[in-house]
Amino acid sequence: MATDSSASGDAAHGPLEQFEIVALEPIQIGGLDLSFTNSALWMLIAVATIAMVFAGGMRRRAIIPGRWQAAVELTYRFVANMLQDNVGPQGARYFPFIFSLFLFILFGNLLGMVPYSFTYTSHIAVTFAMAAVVFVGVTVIGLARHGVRFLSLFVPSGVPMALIPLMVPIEIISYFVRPVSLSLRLFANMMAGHTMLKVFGGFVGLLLSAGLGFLAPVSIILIVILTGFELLVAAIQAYVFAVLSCLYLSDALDLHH
Amino acid sequence: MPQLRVETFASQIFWLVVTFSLLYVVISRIVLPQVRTTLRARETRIGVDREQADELRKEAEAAHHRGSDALAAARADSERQLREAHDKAAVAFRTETQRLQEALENERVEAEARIEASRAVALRDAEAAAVELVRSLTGSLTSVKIEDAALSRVVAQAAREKTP
Repeated sequence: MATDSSASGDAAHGPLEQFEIVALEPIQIGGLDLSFTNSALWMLIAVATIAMVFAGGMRRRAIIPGRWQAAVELTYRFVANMLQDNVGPQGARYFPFIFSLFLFILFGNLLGMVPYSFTYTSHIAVTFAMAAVVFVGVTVIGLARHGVRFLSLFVPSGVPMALIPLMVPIEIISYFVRPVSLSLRLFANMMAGHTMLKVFGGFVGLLLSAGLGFLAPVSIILIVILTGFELLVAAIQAYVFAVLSCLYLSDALDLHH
Repeated sequence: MPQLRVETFASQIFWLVVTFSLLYVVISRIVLPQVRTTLRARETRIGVDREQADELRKEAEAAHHRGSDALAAARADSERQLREAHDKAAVAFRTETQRLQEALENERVEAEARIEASRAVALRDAEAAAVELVRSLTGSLTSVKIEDAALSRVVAQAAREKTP
């Protein structure tokens, strides 16, 4: 991965070049580079798409929904059920956040499948920032709700006293690893998928230039299969991120588990 | 690897915060309230419809009960009327039969009496004819004059002897 280009054979576009962040409108504020980049552009496009799809679907607010409205309601119910199943009724307050988070990741992943687009969820900075917000938020909610008793989260129930000195560090480490695993999972999945697609795409050019053009269809068929697979991964990773956020929230709201 | 270029982190996180906040506002202020009111309106509508359906079903059941009750009553009434008519006809038949039997009996008794009377008359006439015949025979054969009373007695006696 250190060698950005030349690995695929397509000299102009290496498999990692798609992750390159390009400033479209340079902005410098107080020495910080806050440029409007392709990443920011696609975040904006995702938000605009979500707003159009969801506000558009609800424009009639019909008692008997059409296909579009039914899709919006289905998504609503999907996330509402996810929150209900994992957190319970007291999670309802956090529904707008979980719903926004799920949609932001889902549309980021799906829009990343559009050729020549940019996948902002394939960047660790973005996924870690989101995971950190969830982690800090959940910890603050837990501390505000239970005070010092929140620390009992690190003492698993039903463990013999002798094992407590061993279990508590493990629990503490696993708690603080949460944002890392949460962000790495999404980032790695998105990056690996897109890299793989690019590599197989590069193969086509490589095979053609090597005079093995008759093998190119194999690579193209693989790309088609992988694209379907990646669409699945895009949806699953958004779901996983949202479900884990729900579970962490549930831990903070309900200490006895 | 472009992901590890630290100088892009500030921009990425800044725009993440900006766009996600925008999304959060759109979702929580516009989309979710609309979906909620729609779902609530639908639930209310379904509840009202279901109540109405229940009411109508109860009404239909009541109407059905009323209908079957009326049918049962009509059937009982028709059976009662049939039985009454049957009973009345049976009574009328019995009284008429009795009346006719009595009338026939009377006629028979009367007829027998008439026959008896006719027979008595015929017997008397025959006796008278026999007395007359005996008188004329005795008168023409002999010159004996027989008294009427004796003659009648003899003829009556003969008639009684001859009759089995």
